[in-house]
Amino acid sequence: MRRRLPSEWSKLLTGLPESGMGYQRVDIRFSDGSVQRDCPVFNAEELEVPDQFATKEIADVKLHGAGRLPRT
Amino acid sequence: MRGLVQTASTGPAADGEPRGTAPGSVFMRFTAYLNDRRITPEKGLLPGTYATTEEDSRVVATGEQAVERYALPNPMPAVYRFRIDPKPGTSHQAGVVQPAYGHVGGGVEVLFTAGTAGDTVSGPTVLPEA
Repeated sequence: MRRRLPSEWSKLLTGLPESGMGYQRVDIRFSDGSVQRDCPVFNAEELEVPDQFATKEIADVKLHGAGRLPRT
Repeated sequence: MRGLVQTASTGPAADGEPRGTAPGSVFMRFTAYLNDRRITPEKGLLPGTYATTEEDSRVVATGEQAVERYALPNPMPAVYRFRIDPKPGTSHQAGVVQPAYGHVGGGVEVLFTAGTAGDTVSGPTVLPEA
């Protein structure tokens, strides 16, 4: 299901590169220690996760697949 | 523009060779969001933002076609099309969208690794959903 990211995570993702046009692929760690990998985030504000993660508090967000980061 | 498309890598833009934009080259960005967060208040693109070439965008007439051609994971039609007129020499990498999320991809993708300067983004034009 889709959930809106808290503003602090939206701000963080806005400062990171995209994975494709209009989206980022992220790994999410929740406050209960569970992790969900390779979730799409749209426009740095809407996260797509399985239903069981819909209400869990987010502890950390990182880009998935650092190997796809742009060259510098 | 034509040279860019003909020499684009067949792999994803993230694996493409860094280069600078040619004078007069135009790019387009499709999104489902009017409040596109990759566009700065100064009307530039943030570093690490994707777009496509103006030439490739010509075959995309609807938001649903954009979702298919650029293999977007968001099923919402990408009906907002922003135009990008980067300054000559703007750093970017070009490639081809790989199949993903049940979509065939195949469109040209361009990654502006360092973003674009202010006053380079205009629009959007609003496309039909389907």
